[in-house]
Amino acid sequence: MNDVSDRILLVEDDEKLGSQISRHLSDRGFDVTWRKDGDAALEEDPERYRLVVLDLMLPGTYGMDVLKSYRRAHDVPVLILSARNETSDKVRALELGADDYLTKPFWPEELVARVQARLRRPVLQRSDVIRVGGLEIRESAREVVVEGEPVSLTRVEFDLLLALARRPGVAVERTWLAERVLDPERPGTERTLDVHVSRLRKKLGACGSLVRTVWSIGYRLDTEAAS
Amino acid sequence: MSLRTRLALTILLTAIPLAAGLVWLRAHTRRLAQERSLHDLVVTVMQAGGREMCEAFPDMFSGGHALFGPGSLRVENVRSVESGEEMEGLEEALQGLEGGEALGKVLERMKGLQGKEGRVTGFLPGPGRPPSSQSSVSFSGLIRPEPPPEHHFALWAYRADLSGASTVAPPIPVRIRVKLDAGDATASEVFERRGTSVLRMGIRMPWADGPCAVMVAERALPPSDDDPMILWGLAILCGGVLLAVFLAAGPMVRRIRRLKADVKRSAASRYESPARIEGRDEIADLARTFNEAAEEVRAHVAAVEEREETLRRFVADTTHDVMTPLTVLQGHLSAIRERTLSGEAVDPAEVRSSLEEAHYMGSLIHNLDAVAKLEAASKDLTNGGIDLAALVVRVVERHRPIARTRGIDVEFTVPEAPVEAAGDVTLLEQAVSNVVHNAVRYNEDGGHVSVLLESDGDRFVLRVLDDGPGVPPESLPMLAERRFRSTEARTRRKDGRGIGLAIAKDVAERHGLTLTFANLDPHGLEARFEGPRLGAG
Repeated sequence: MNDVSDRILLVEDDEKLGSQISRHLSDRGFDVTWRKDGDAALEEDPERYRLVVLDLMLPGTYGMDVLKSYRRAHDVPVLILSARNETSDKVRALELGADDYLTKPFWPEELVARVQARLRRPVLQRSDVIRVGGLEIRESAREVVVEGEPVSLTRVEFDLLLALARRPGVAVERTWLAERVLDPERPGTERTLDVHVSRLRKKLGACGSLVRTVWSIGYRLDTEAAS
Repeated sequence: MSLRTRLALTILLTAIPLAAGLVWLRAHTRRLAQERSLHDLVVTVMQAGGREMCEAFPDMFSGGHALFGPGSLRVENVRSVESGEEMEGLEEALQGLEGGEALGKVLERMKGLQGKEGRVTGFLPGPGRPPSSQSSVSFSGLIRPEPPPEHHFALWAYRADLSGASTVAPPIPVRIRVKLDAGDATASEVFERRGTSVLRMGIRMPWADGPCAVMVAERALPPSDDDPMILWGLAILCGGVLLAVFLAAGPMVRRIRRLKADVKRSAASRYESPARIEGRDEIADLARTFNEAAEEVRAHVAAVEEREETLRRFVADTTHDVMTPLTVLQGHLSAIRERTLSGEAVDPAEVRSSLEEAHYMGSLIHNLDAVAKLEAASKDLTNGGIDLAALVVRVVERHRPIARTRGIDVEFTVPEAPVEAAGDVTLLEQAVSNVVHNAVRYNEDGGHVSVLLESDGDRFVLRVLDDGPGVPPESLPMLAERRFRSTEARTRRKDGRGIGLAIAKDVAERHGLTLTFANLDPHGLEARFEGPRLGAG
């Protein structure tokens, strides 16, 4: 799912943590360059990377200074790592132009999720065509194509799919969907919504499993099929 | 340098130039008075018949030894050129003569003396008489009373172009000539002759014609015997002032020393004992200012000590609390290694427990940190806008890895539009994290946890739902109401819902939020944060 050419600059002075992070990111297909102190980090050209993971506590140049120096000319996303869970540090880092921060200790999955969230290209919600997984949703034509085959959906089913597809990967509340998707003229409840969802899944065939039920919340359109 | 030394030095440095200035001023004034006196004398003499005499016998005004007494004319050193005999007869002949008659007699006699060696060296009008008229000149004869020294003077006559009126007149001394040449009416200098200071003046007469238009006069200056007296007076004055300053400085110096001792004692007693305040002057102000400063230092030290104590306790608590899960973790890791070495399969439960212990330690340290912050920050918390959706995502992502090991799904939903609340992001995130952690920890394997952020107008609701066993209804109010003390942070409770939720509750209240708990149907727990949105439209 990741672009193999996704280059990430990691600035971390701790050998073990650095090699761990480097390995985890490499396993996810990132091309990681690891610098072990602030001075070496200052020599890097941030323009060459899609994202920087920066530890604040560095020998040599302090992490905030590295951040300041990067921000002087570039807007590459910077994810801050900090052992100090201090609000003032976070506020300062964000003011200096950091995009996100992660407090130690963190799980490798947490870091990867945060990196991926930063790199995810925003879905162009106003574009006419939304592509999620094997789905292609043409909004103005109100057409849905599943792996090349057009599928015929009812109005409610189409609106339901469109509402989910506008925020792929994000759970949407059942009440919110019911209010906006169901016909206000006809008596309908959240149960009615569930019925529409199960019909929609069937019609989408192989892509039906992308429409996931989320406990106590509602539904979510996954960007890839569950493994 | 001590205060007294500084005062004395200052006085001396001021007094010495002042005294020198006074002495110089006095000398200058005296010199001016002497110049004026000699000038007036010469002008008077010349106007009272001296001019005629001089013009008639310029040779006789060519220096020499002059002796004048008040109201007297003396012609002396008149000698016969041939015999060198002093002509005493002149004196007798003049005796008893007065006014113009006497002058005429003198002039006649002098004519008779021409060609002989001798000089008329000076004359003086009578006291109180106007000097302009010849008739006012009175001669009391050639008796020789010892004249007062200030009336000794010698005269030389010169023309307006400063050439000598007679062949015997010496050239005018350079310094005087220069000034007269420059057009000055008078010029003067003082020089030493045989141990005596002599004032020499060149004076232009009120007339510019004739051989006696410029007169040079010399007169011995009286010795300035009163100068040492002046110096003594000044020295005594300086000494007196010095003594007065020393006496006046004494009490001040003593009070400053006392204040110094007080300050030292106060510093030694950690600023508990104040400095004495005596009087109402600057030294009293100093003492008062020191006491105020001491007060501030005490308050500051107290605050620092309190923070230090909090920190010390935090470090001790953290050390203690982390040791137990760390020991469990070490045990697990050791067991895993032994199994691996002996070729046995690793027990997944043991790995899972290790992960949980590690996660617990991280959460524990953050919680102890939060407790320390809440205890220390009795004042305002850092207040900024918090992006609640981002906060929810961070919290969910933090707990997902550990939940996944037990097959628990952690899901969330946030509105598309941003929702902000005011507060300290670290503490609020820890509060939400504690609630989510509890929901994961006390859920069954394969259970669910959902975090829902909803916003309605100017308020937001953040709910954490789980489908775990919930809480006995009678414990619910306690769960919500329990207050924590720092000692409770150390207790690793069996039910575990203690400290984390208590911190969450405290943080919520400090942010003006409510945190309530309710059981769900059929089973599970709902924790509900509710509060105002920031800048909601």
